[in-house]
Formats: sequence, C-alpha cells, structure tokens
Amino acid sequence: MSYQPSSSDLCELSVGEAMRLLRFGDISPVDLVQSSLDRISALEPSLHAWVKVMGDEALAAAETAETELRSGNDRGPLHGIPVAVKDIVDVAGVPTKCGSPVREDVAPAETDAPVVTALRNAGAIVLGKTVTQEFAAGVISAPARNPWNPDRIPGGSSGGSAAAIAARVCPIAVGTDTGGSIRIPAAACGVVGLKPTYGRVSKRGVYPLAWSLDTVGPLAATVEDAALMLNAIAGFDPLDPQSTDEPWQDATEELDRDLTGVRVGVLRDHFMERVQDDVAAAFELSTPVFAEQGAEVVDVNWPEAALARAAGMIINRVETVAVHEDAMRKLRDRYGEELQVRVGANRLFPSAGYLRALKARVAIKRSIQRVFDENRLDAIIVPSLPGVASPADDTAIVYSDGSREPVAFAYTRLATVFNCTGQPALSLLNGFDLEGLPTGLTIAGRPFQEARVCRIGAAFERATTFRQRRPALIGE
Amino acid sequence: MATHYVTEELTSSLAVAAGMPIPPGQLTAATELLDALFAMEALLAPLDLDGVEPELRWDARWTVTAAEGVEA
Repeated sequence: MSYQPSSSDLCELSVGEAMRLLRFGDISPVDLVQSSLDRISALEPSLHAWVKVMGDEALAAAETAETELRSGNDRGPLHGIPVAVKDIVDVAGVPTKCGSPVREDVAPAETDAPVVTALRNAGAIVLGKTVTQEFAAGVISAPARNPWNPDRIPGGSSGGSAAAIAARVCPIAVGTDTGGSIRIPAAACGVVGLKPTYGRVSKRGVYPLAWSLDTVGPLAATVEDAALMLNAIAGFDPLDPQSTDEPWQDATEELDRDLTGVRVGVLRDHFMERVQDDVAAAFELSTPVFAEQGAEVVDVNWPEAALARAAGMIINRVETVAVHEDAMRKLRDRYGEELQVRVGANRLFPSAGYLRALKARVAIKRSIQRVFDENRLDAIIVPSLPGVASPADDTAIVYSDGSREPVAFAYTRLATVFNCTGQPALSLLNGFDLEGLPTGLTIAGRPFQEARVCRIGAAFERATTFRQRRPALIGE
Repeated sequence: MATHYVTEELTSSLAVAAGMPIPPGQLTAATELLDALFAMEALLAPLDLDGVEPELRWDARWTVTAAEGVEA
C-alpha cells in the first residue's frame, strides 16, 4: 500500500510536542527523521519544496542524537528535531546554489553558516536544502507549490521552507527576509514566520540580497517553535559587520502569559488601503481576539508607513544591483530573466536617490518610534499580505474592484515596511478565504523585543483553532 | 503606481551610457521597474530630510589581510 500522509505521522509534531515525547523515550530522533523523509518522498512530486534532501546524513545525525539523549546529554529543546534550510544558507558539504543556474557548478560549502552551526549545536538535524527564488530576489519560489492548493504559489523567497512546514514535513526551517521573504511565504502557506530585529541573527554564510536589510530567521509550525528556534540562532557575531550586541531575552520567556498589561495598536494606514475582501474581513475579526486575551487594543495612525515601503524597496533594489552587477556582466545569460531585468533596470537608478532613501529610513525609524512611544505600544498588528496565494500560472492579486496587482508589488507592499524599520515582525495564520487559502496576520514589535512579539502571537494562536485545519495536500 | 516619465528610449540610452545595455526584449519590463522605483522616490519627496544623516556603519580599522581583500 502506498504511503498516505496522516495526522498521526511523527513529522506532524511541533517542536513543543516532539521535545516532550523525545524526553519520555516515547519516540526517537531516528523515528522523527524517518517520518520526515517518508513524507518528503510522498509529497515531493507535487510540492517541489526541496533542492537537496540529505537523508543519509540526517539519519546518521539522528542516531547520534538518540545516543546522546539516552545518555543524558540533552542539548535542549531542538535536540533531535529535523530542520530545513533555505538554499541561500551554507550547509557544509552541500553547494549553495541559490536557485540560480549561475551557481550550478559551485563547489560545496566548506563550512556551515553560523546559523546552521547554532542549530546543530542545539541538536537540530538538517534534513536538506529548500527551494528559493533565484538569489532570494522574488516572491514566487518556482517550482515549489503551496500545500493548501498545489496550483498556487507558496510565496517567497523562502517558499520551499514555508511549503515544507505547511506540509508538516518538519516543524522548523531557516528562512531569510529582506523585503518580506520569511513573512510572505509564511502567510501564503499558513505557517509562522518570524523576522527578527535586523542584526539579531548572524548572516554570515548567507548569500546576500541587500546587505542593510537582510535578516535570517525561523519559519515554524507554531509560535513556540519559532521562539525555540530563535533562542538557538540569535546572538552577537563579531565577524558579521551588521550584527548587534544587544542583551538577549529568552524568546519563550513570556509565552505562557496572557496579554494583561500589553497594548496593541491596530494600524490600518497603508495596510488596509488595497486588500482582498476576505483578507480584510479576517483581519477585522482578529482584532477583538487580542482584547479577549487581556490586551488593551487601540487604533493608531502611522502616516509614514507607505514611505517605509518606498524607502525599503529602493534600498533593496539598489543593493541587489551592487551584489550582482559584476557577475551579471560575465554571466548574464545564466541568470534568470526576472533578475536580469531587475538588475539591468535598477542599475540606472541614481545614487542620490539611494542615499535619500537611506536618509528617509532614519526619519521613518523615528516616526514609528514616536507611534510606539506616544501610544505606549508593545506591538502593532496589520495584515501580512493584501491577498492570498496567487495561482502559479497567473501571479497577480485580483481585488474586488477587478483591478490586478503583480505579486512582486502586492506582497512586498505590506511586508517591506518592517524591513525598512528593522523591527521584529511575526506573521501567523489568521484564518482562510472562501477557497480555503490561508490569510496572515503580522505582529510587529519594538526592536529586540522578540519575546513580547512571541507572547502576543502565542496568545492569539491559543485563542484560535486555525492550525487544526490541514492543507489539501496532506488530506483531512 | 508609475511616473510615466521614464520611456523605453530613455532606459535604453541610459543603459548604454552606463555600460550595461539592456536587450530589446527586456526593455519594456525594465522600463516599468525603473519607473516604479522613481515613483517610490517621489513618494519620499514630502519628507524634510535636511540635516538627517544616513546611518552608514563603516569600519576603518584594518581587520582583514591583504589576501582577503578585493582583487585588483
């Protein structure tokens, strides 16, 4: 009989669930990894989420983890947990191909990126590398598909990671976010995506897209899982020039608390100006949930939100040119057409405009700080995306007035705002549209206060039942 | 959102002048992208940024060896 995904499969366990069973000896890391590998084999013909599955290495690591756990050498909550890694992040012994023919013949990475080292040190087991848009520059992530409807895109650029989590192949994955590339696929696939504060996680060993915006972070099954993974990967890296040496607060520290004493701002400026009806309805239904959990919920205004997106996009696009223009002179035909066009066009944007965007970012950062301070906010909430996952053969969002917006602009219109400000932003599942596709909600907090953002997200997650619904690809 | 001031002719000639011509088949898409970026900049116009210094973190210490430096 052929394999059919089942909710009893071990790979469906969250980190929080698996870590308890692992310690009671009810399951083993080998069982967990084998379950993930079985599901990959079953789904990959439809999901296309992986560029490299490291089955033998993962099983060997699982055996080591099993021995360690049995002997009492407990590395913590991630010990024995399978993790996926986006293919712009170095994993020793595996070529980092970045989804590009340009790197088809690149040598295997000699060392792990520090974020991978941190995960291995925490006992996590690398399952393999996941699909990304070419050099993380886009939101479609072909050929990966969305587990809720395989005719839809998973979003991007960490689309393979999000699709793997949504298909419950594994509970955590490494993503990167420069203009929304963790939160966009998280929202499109109905999973949790946490963009930490810029500088919180080392980005050495991660192929750059735009240096002053690039952020590494978790995609996860639950907010608790994202927080546990962030605990493992966060920290100052003196060899990463953009790393920030800020005090660290355990991201799980507040997870069990309700929202008493927490102030949440509902922000509609910019974020609700052009969204699909079902997304708007889901967002409006979400706001009372925070109050029910004890939060004080207030409406706030931030007129500069649209400017944050504009400045973020300029910075993103111009820095991407600087990353790729030399290689593109030599290897133009090996780049995909979308990136050729992007680099060719944006190379012509004036440097004064880029520097103006950098200046604007300073003013915009001050403006969001004013909004938080004047309203005594812990976080703001906004829709993650203006629309659900688009069809793979027609990558645009269609609004109720019949107008269309290409996903490259639509998805980043909301998400890039928080790359410009650098603050932490958590996207989580916020219900479904009439076709059963996920919608996302974003909670953005104060810089370096990921623990508070996770607390608010966890309270929302506890109060809702959205995660009980299963994607079409893995059955009821 | 668009300025519509950026034409394909302008994009093409700028690209040639900048030493990286854009193939004719990509000119329409490239022009739309460049135009969109100018539109983004136009959005920033109302901000009074006089006296605002961009946050550029640059380290003048010699921390890398010449062998790790940029190739000539």
